[in-house]
Amino acid sequence: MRKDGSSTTGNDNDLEKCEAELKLLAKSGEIPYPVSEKEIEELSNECAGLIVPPELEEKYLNSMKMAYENLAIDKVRRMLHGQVRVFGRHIQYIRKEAGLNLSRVAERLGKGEEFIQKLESGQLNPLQVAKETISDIMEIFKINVKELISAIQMFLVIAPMVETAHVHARADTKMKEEEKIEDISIAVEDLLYGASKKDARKVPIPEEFLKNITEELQRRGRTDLI
Amino acid sequence: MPDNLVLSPEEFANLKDGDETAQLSFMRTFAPCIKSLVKRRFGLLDVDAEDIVAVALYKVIMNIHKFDPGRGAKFSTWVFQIAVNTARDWCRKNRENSWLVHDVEHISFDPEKVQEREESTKDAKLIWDAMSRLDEIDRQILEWDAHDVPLVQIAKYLRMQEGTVRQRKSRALQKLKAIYESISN
Repeated sequence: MRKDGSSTTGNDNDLEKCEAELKLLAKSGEIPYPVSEKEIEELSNECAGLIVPPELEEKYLNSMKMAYENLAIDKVRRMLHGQVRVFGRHIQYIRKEAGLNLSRVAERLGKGEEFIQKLESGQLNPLQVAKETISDIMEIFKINVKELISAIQMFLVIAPMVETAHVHARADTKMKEEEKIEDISIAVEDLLYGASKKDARKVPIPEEFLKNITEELQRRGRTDLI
Repeated sequence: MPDNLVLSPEEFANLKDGDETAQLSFMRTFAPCIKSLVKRRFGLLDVDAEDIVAVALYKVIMNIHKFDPGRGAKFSTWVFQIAVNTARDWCRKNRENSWLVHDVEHISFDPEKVQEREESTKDAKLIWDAMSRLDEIDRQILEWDAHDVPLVQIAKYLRMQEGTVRQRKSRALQKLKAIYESISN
C-alpha cells in the first residue's frame, strides 16, 4: 500500500474517521471497557469462597448443556449438506446424531416423549401440529422454512403408503424387535420416497400454514430461518 | 492472574469436550466472579445478573472452539469479556435508552432527534457486529484504544512490543472498515 502514496493518504483519513467513531462508541458505553487482569484479580478476591446455590447451579449447568447440544446439532447440520428426509425422520436423524435423547427434546419442547415419537415415526401429520411447536422444533434443530417445506412434502407424498409398509415390516419381524421394525420402516420410507420423488415437489403445502409459521418465526426474531 | 481462574490445558480440553466434571468446576469457579463483574459494571440486580451469567456461560461454550490458548490470549480474560458484552447487549435490549442517559440532548421526542438516535443505535450495532467478527487480539486492541488506553499499556497487557501493537491496530482498523462496509451494504 505504501508504494501508492495517494491511496495511503485517502485510506489513512478513512481509518482516522473509523477510529474516531470507535472512540465515540466507547464514550457512549457501547464498547465496554475491556476487562483487565487487575480487575480479574479483584473479582477473584471478592468472590473467594462464594458458593453457587443449588438452584442456580442447575440453571447455569442447563444453560451450558444447551450450548453443547446446539454445538452438536450444528455439527450434524454441517454434515447433512442440505440433505432433507421425511419430516419426522429428518428430526429423528438430527436428534440421534447430535446425541440427544427423546426425553431431553421433550423437555426442551415442553411436550411428552410420546408426542415426539409419534411425530418422528410419521404417525402425526406436521400440518396438524401447532405453529408454536413447529417453530420450536425449527429453532431447536435449526430447520429453515425451505427445508421444512421439502420435509413436509416428502411426508405428505409417502404418508398414504407408509401405513401399509409398516404393517408389512411388523409382520416380517418378531414382535419385540421394535428397533429392527424402525430400521425397516425407515428403509421402506426411503424406498417409497425414492419412487415418488418427482411427485413430492408438486405437493401443495397450505399457504395458511406457511404464513403462520413465518409470522411466528418473525415474532421470535428468527429471520435466519425464514 | 489468580491461580483458581487459570485452566490447565487438560482442563480446557475437557471443558471443550463437554466433560461433566470440567463443566461443574468451571461453572463453580467462574459463575460467582461473572455475576459480581456484571453487577459492579452495570449496576444490576441479582436476578438480572444471574440471567446474564447463564447467557454468558452459554456463549462461552458455543464459542469455545474459537478460543485458541496458543495465541497468547488468556481464557479468563476472554470469558469475562464475553460476560461484559452479554451484559451490555442485555442492557441495550432491556433498558433501551439508558445508555444515552448522560447525553441529555438525546432524550427528546423531537421526531428528527428520535430518528437520529435510532440511526446511531443501528450504526453502533453494525460496528459492534463488525467488531465481533475480528480476531480476538485485534478486537481487544481496538477496544482498549477506543478507551484511550495508551499503546504502551496495551502492549504490556497483551505482552507484545509497542510497535507490534501499533501495526496490528492499523491493520485491525482496516479489517474493521472492510467488514463494516461489507455488512452495511
